[in-house]
Amino acid sequence: MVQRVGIDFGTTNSLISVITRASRAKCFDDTQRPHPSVVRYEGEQVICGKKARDKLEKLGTGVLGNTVRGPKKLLGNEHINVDGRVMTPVEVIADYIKYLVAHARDNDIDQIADLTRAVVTIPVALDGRGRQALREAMLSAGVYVETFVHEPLAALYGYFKDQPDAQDVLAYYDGKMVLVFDWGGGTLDLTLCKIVNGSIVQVLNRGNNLVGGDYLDDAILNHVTDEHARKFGWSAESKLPVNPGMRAKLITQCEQAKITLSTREKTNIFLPDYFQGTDEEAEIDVWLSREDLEKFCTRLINQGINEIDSLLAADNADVDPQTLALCLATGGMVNMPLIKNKLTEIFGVSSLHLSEKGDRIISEGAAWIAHDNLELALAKPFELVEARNSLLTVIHKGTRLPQRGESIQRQQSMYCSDPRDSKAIFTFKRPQMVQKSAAADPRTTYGSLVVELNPDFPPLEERIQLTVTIDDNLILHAHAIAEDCREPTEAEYYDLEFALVVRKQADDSGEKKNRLRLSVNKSAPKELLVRANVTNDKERWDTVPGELLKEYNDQNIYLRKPMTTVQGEEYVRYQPCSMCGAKWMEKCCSSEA
Amino acid sequence: MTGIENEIAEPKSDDIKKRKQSKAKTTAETKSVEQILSDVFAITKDKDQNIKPASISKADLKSLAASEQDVGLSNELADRITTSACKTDPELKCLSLITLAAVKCQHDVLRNDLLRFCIRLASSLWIQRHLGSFDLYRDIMDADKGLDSAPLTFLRNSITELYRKRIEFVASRAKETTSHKSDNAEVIQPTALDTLSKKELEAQRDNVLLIGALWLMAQGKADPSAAIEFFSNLLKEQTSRIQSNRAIAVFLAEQYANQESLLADTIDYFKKQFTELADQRKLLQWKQHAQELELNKLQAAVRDQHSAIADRDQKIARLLAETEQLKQALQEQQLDERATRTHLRDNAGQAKGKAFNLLSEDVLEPLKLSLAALQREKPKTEVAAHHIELAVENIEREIKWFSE
Repeated sequence: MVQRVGIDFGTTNSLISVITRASRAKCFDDTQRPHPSVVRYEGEQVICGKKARDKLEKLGTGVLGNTVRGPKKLLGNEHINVDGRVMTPVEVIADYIKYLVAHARDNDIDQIADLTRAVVTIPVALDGRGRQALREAMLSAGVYVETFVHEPLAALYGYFKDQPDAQDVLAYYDGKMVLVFDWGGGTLDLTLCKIVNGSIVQVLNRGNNLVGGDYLDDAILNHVTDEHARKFGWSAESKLPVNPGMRAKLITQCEQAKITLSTREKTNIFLPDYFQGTDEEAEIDVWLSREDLEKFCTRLINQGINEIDSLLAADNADVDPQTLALCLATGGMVNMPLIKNKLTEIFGVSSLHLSEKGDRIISEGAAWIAHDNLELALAKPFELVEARNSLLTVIHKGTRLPQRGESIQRQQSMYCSDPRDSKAIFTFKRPQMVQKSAAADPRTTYGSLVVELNPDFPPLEERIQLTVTIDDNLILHAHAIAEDCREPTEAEYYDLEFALVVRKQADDSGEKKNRLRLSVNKSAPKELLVRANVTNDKERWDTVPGELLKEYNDQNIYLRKPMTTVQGEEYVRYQPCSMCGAKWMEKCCSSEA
Repeated sequence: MTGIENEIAEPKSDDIKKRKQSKAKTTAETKSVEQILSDVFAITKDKDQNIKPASISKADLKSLAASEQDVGLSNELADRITTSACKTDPELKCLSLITLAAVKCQHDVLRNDLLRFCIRLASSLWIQRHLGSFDLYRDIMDADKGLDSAPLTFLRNSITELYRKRIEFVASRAKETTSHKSDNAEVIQPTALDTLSKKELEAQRDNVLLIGALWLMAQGKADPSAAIEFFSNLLKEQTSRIQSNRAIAVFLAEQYANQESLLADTIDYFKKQFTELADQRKLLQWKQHAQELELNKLQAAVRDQHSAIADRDQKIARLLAETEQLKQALQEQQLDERATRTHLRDNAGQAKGKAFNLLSEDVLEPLKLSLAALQREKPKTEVAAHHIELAVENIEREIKWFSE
């Protein structure tokens, strides 16, 4: 039986892995290294991977002449211009995936891998359009995406499966918080997870695209060239031009020096004929110490480390780093002694785990997910804010998310308690933390949907049909239409948070309706607060604003509804003062009296 | 009931009998065969002006049987008599008696003429007279085409079938007539033959069968023993509902008194037949018993075979399951081997990759740089030494990996 594969399509590197019958991972790598995510177009020829990277002369990601480095970063663009050739990111990615699949097929002599079906990892921040485009590109390359999985979840599962007894380890971490700290060449991604009833649940994410390892290499390169210029007394004007192709070589040396300084105190960067000149002026010969490296990298490194504090801060996850059961550090950067020390300081030796296979742990994790046929579930409930700030759960947490070709749909009829402005406001939220969905628990807003209504309808009369669908790209589509006005409104949310269901357990989907405490940050600049005005119960007259209910009661004397104290106050607030006739104010004549 | 039996069964006083016999004797002496036949079927009426049914005296029958008249009977006679006969003898009772007398006739020519006459008359009186046939039996037997080996059976079946349809039709018409009697005031007057009732038709059928059987016997086409069975079957249908053993005893005594040896022969024949049948039955019972034993033996053998087959099927199923299991195990083994091969190849690839990376990146590059640092007027020994040191360190680190 052939096994589905896991594909880690990264910004810097990509890799396909499969789990064999011997329950071991087999990576289709290129001489023990993952394939650089680089595509080069030379006439009709498409060169990908290491060959394409070796020909690169420029730094950075994106389109570099006839080469595309990190095509994943271009997923939001409609068209890109590759050396005069107008292409779509989908075409470039499809070319690259075709190369990866062809390479894997050539190396899969025993045909153990089903290279047509894959679990594909995606960054947490990849939006809905990006997922759709990635699925399209995969399909163009002949790969069906069975499911998308967030990279940190795949890395964590890969780590658990690397342990001698994964189930025991998972049981040990049950109920505990785990941080995946992925500091690679392109980005720094932090994902806080919690193991809940055998599921790896995503709690909070944070990322920084400006502190990737490439920036550090760039900083080393700048330091080295500056040192060289200082040695020969060059100014910005008298600086010699660089020989073609030499910058790429120097960046490789800088990268190498960074690695060397992980184990040695001092190293030398030596590169003849770097500049267009003669003698020693043309060659780079700079000694670099770990102290120097740490000195000019401190700002960058601190920036990255500070992300941990931001994520775990009281206004976010509100978690003490020392209480984290595990910090799984992956990516090339975490091997730097300075970073390693800082992480050890924060989490302690026992909790910190530096992954030895940082360049393949995500791919292997995806392969394990494919092998174990794991499903994704919604980590937190998808909630709708009702009038008077109660919360209605539209999709419960733990709901199994659709696989390829599937979708799930929920429908909900709602009524507007205040149709005077012809607008019903649907605000969607999720609890900020897992298993913390009480009234006082903080919530994150997905967004709001404003539906046009017929303002002539009485309160709680016009029905609004809300349809929420999650497709196989894990994008949530909210569609709402008022039955009389019939002007549909739609919105898409892609930042759903998932749980990887490792051990299937009964859903606790019977959640109660919660009250939401809307808190206004008084220290923040003043802003308008969107107040929801919908309810799913047609008889909830207590959700109607007081002044509107009074008006309704006056017009329909036989259908009068009782007013609550709050509604009474609301009504009174809109009335002029009975003594002086002024509008409501704090120090009116009555209060003075 | 046939006419014969009527004659036998009817108890009459001795005086009447004697008078009739003497009268018949005198008439037979004077009458020719042609005359007898004409008189028998002639229309006479009783005091109520009803047509008297045809009847023939025993004397006339005797004279017919004993007649040695050489003058042949013309066909016209039969045709002439037909008109009156259809009124006086629709059930062919008299005709069957005449046929019986004809069969007994010793004179060949007269016998043949009488039989031909009887058949011609029967053909004009039976239900399918409209076909205009002069010999209904020959027509029926021609349809046999030699397919049926027993002419009597064929004749009986054919005639019975023809009459069955007519009798059913008459029975259903009779029902309708009774139900619609009041409605149909106007009724077309049919001929005497057309108005025959179900019972009359049945009597006609039996007499036609009797005449036919006698004809076949006279022709030598029917075996006498088959004829005996045929006639006994006809008689069986006329068995009275309540049998009177006394009457039978009286009848036998009467026959004995009359010194009728033929009845004794008949009884003897049937007794022999019964004994033969009883023996045959015993034989058949014995054969059946033997066959049952054989059947039991065979059934037991079949059961044994079935159980053997079931055992074999079970064994085959077990072997198939085992084969399937082995196939699966083999397949799994092959897959395991493939996985092992993959990992071995992967390990080899890993070693190769490690070696390649070591040589190309960790050794060659530092050595190249060292060489470049040394190949100059003022060799950069410190730089060269550092890079060589790095290369050595890398080699040492990787050697540890390779040795593991």
